[in-house]
Amino acid sequence: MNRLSWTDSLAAPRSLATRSDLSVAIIEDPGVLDLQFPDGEYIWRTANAALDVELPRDPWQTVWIDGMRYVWTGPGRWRVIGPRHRIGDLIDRLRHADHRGAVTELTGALSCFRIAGSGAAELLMRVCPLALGPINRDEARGTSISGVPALIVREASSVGSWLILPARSYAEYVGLSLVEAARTPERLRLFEPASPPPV
Amino acid sequence: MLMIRCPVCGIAADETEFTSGGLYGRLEETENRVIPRDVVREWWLCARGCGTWFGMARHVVNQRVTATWAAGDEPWDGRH
Amino acid sequence: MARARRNLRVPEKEGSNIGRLIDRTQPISFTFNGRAMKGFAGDTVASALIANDVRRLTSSFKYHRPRGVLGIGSDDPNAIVEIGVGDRRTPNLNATQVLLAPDMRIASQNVWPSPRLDLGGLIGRLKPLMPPSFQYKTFKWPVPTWRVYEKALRTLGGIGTVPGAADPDRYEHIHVDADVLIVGGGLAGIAAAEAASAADLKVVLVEETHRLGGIADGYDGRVDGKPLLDWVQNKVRNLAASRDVHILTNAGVAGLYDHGLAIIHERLDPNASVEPENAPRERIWKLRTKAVILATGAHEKPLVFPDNDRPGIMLATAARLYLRRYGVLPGQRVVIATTGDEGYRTAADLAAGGAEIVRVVDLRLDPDGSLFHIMKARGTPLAVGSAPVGTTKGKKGELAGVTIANRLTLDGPALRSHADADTLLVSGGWGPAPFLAGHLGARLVFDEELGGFRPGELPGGLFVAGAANGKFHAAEVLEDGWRAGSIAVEHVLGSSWSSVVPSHSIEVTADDDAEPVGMLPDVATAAERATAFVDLQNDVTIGDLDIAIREGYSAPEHLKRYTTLGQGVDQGKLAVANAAMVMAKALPNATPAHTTFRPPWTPITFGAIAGTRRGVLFKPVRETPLTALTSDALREPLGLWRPPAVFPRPGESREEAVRREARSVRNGVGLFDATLGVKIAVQGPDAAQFLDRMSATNLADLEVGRSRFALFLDNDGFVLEDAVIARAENDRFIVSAGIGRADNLCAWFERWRQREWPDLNLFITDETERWGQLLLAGPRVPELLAAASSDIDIAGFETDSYAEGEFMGTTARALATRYTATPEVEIAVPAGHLPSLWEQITEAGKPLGITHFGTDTLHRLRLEGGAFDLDHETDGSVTPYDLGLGDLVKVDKPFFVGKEGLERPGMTRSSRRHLVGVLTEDPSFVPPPGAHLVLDPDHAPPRRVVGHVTSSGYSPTLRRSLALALISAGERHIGDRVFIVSSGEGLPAIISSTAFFSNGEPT
Repeated sequence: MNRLSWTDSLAAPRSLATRSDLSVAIIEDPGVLDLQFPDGEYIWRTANAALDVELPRDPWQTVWIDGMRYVWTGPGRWRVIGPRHRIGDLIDRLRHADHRGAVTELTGALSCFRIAGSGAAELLMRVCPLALGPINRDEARGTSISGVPALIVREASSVGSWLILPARSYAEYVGLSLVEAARTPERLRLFEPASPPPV
Repeated sequence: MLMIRCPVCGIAADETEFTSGGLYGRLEETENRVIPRDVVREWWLCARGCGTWFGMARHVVNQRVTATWAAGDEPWDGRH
Repeated sequence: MARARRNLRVPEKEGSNIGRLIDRTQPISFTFNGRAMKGFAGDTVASALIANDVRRLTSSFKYHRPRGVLGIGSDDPNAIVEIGVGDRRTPNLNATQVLLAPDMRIASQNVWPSPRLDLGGLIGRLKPLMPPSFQYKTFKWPVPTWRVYEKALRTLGGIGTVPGAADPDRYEHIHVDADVLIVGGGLAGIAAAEAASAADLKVVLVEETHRLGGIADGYDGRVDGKPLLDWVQNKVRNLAASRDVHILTNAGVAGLYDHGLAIIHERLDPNASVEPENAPRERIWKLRTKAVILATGAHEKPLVFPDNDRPGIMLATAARLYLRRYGVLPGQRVVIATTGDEGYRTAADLAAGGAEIVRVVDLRLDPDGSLFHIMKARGTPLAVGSAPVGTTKGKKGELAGVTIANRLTLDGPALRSHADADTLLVSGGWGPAPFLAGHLGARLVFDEELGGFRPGELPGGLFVAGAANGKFHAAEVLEDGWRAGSIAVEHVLGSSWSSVVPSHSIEVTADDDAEPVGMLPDVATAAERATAFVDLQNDVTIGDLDIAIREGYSAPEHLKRYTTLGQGVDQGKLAVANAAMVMAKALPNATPAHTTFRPPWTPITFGAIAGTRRGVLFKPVRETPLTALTSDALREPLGLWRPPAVFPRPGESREEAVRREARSVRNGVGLFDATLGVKIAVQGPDAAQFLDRMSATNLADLEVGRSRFALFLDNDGFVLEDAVIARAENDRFIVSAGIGRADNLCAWFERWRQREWPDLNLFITDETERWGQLLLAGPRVPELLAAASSDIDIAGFETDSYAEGEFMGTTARALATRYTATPEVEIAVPAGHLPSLWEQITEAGKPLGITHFGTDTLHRLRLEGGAFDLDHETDGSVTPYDLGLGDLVKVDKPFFVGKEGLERPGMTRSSRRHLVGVLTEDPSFVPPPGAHLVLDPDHAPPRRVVGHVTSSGYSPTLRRSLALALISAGERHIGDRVFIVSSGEGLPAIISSTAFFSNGEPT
């Protein structure tokens, strides 16, 4: 028997739907690191020093450095998301730090979709119950996409760009529902000047 | 459908993003407690969000949410 | 023989405002009940049918009385038709709300066998046998004849038939947030929107029809020097251009819910899209708002008198709106009966349109309004202080004449007069319609002077404006709309907001108040009262209310249910106020109240409710990484997963495949996708202590590198979950469980950690999706693994060992398990590596005859081993002792979850059901799971059931059937006989221990 190869979810990376103002794609399975540390300044600084980053302490903030995104996901909890081959290095750095917490690799647990374009927010409104207005760039939320638990990240791009990360087992279902939501051709143009309805 | 704001992570969302968890307090304190027709104190879980259990005071008839708090940060003096 | 159809469309006239919504240059062909007809672009189905002199649209629900169009909006109870054919046929559409489209096929409903000949009309003759609630007292005897009754009732009752084909259209849902929701786009709504948007708040204005302005176009006059309609158009233009206002038309609020949630149902036209096949036909908006303003207007009340429901009877304001908007006359010989000034407006309009006004009947004794005087001066035939007290019908049941009587002396034929007419227009005054407030629990207050309901105490954040608030004059409406908008702004901002109320110069004729009139005449006979309809859609008459009150029902909710008043799809919109007036008179000591209006406000389609949750999207499905590689499997749902149950070869039945797979595992090696299991990492200095508290089983002495089967109980002491717990390191445990219950084990752990023991130092991580897992089972497993490169010495694994390391170049875990009573190893690799692992192991196992097996087979193998399966053998009410697993409970632990529950006396009662084996005397008979067990099959029923079969199957290894059952005091009855009830017979069996088979030998 030979070395095992990696099969990405839904044969990623590939485009699932494209419109003039919207693209839906699945990207390669990300590397995922789950961090849980006890409360306290000392622990936080220790972890920061090991990772060479400042872990965000405000709820749902993210820090994007050099291809890796550090996401606050709960009190004392973070997820690190980035290319799979980079995760091992982070684990090594933390292995000898006095963080007194739990560092768990969860690579393979999440699939990752990207919806982008000026129509992305409207698509998200069809599948996600959260108000999107309060979500700033480089922020994340834990929520549901078509009823399935998922992490969403609003990327820093000037045009709308969002990542959707459900658990891997839901990838097929989430992909189908994003494609379905992308079918509606016309935009709602909420709160924009419009031609008046008849009287 | 209630709109709930998690006091720990700030997410404000439909109650379907949360899980309700019975009366607020440790298990042995809440057994056999009767619920009156006014404000009840409950446990709720920010299930789809930060995964933290928090407390909520809710009026059982008009559904007004009068307070939410992180465990350990109760908005009253002494024990519940 | 059909009578000749008149053309009731009024010809175009220079400078007149008749037919302003239709485009006479665009004729539209359509059919009604198969007959070809013509209308114009801009017509509604109702206006087009009226233009074509269609008097009778449908038969009423209960008595099959002929009915025609009564009003012009969603409050019309009669104009329910079916439109379309084939997979687009839609029943129960309100003809007043649907715009006419080319080649539309429109049909009557509730007519059988055909619209021309409705035999259902014969039911009307049986009316005396069908008093209110007769359905609760009849059709009961003789019992077997219910089937006959049922079939007849299903054919004759109900409205509309369900289309036979799948719905080809798309529907969708969308979540939106706003600050203020305004329901209704009439004058009040427009004024409120102006006020709210002046404060830069996000305003959504929702209007049920396709146009804004409400019924403003039914009135003449000027606002700020401009004609009323022009003024409204200007305001609408400003709102549409605003970045703060979003206007939705063809959208109705279906329901209002807690915390500012509104469900809005929007109807769209896919054909207007650039991609009709992708555009949705309907959309549900889930809107969260901080304030709601009901500007839902008022309903004009019909008059209640004997035979007040004939085709040709229409509401007066609706009639003149039909003329102004669509250029149609309701008829040619018109009687108008009014309790207020609206009737005179309508008389003026219709006379100008060419109709003959036969009589205007004013129910007031002394009308004095300017419109009354104008029409009197014009020589309009008037009857003051009179009322309609009956109608006569033509051949087809439509209106032929009206009987009018003087109100002061309503007795005696001498004082009654008769007027021949094909149309009777009625106006009982305006009844405010703020009924959506009922969705939030608000009770409206009956105003006797008004003869209608006003808003009473409203929940916070809900406001009412305009006619819905009892304001009927344009000046009052605009002011009230602005006021409501401002208060809503203050509510949203949480502070006061000063706005300058715009002042307008308004020149619209003010009406005198309408007189609220209940049922007339007072001296009507019982027979007459039995044809005075209060609720037209459900055929509820004054006579029905009489009977209900006589039988002792006085509360509105009781009267509603007893008579079915307000239970139609219109929820009694036009009946509520009249019913309250009648009840106020009949029950003077009771407070008139309305019944609760419930969502949806008007009927909505199932398509809209489903949205995109149809077909493959109906509910989430979970897949393992191996789905693509196991397409040859027969799948069986398990929770949200659909794992392979078995892999049948061509020509094999499901059972044959299970037996073949089981034999292969017992004799060689089998491969199973075990990815579905939950895997939880529990780590930290207090991890061991935490798990020892959570589980009933002793875990304190579990060694590193070993695993143990453990039970988790719920707080009551019943088995919640079973799991294998492996100690990877001193402070790190891996908990592996099956799919089990909906409450997953990880959530259970977090609940206890956070709420009960927040001071314990441990961390819980759900690793389930990170790992893909295979189960290798069978005596040839060691041979197979010898070929794999690994730094875990799996081949030499003893049962219950656990190790982490490398397997075929990737990080891996291995656990030696004993699910199937054969040598087994569970190997986990990161999920993305699983397909590759599956393929390589399958390939390497070919010389050893490796077989893929599924959940059916796993269950069969476990049954042979006497092992229980949570899903089959437990139902949330089984204790560890019931399962014979008492030695897995460490009773002298100071604490474990469920310990107190388990100590309750009832939990160790000797008569509790125990899990035992059942061996049928006939080894080929497999008792179905759920089959009851009795001691004496010949005993006459009722027989005492001593237990039931929980799992069963044919054992290819032992060559006989095996079954597990929960039997009362089963453990004390091993060896005893019991009978399985199956297909009415009692089949003998022996109770046995569950150890059917151990170490390869039958016991």
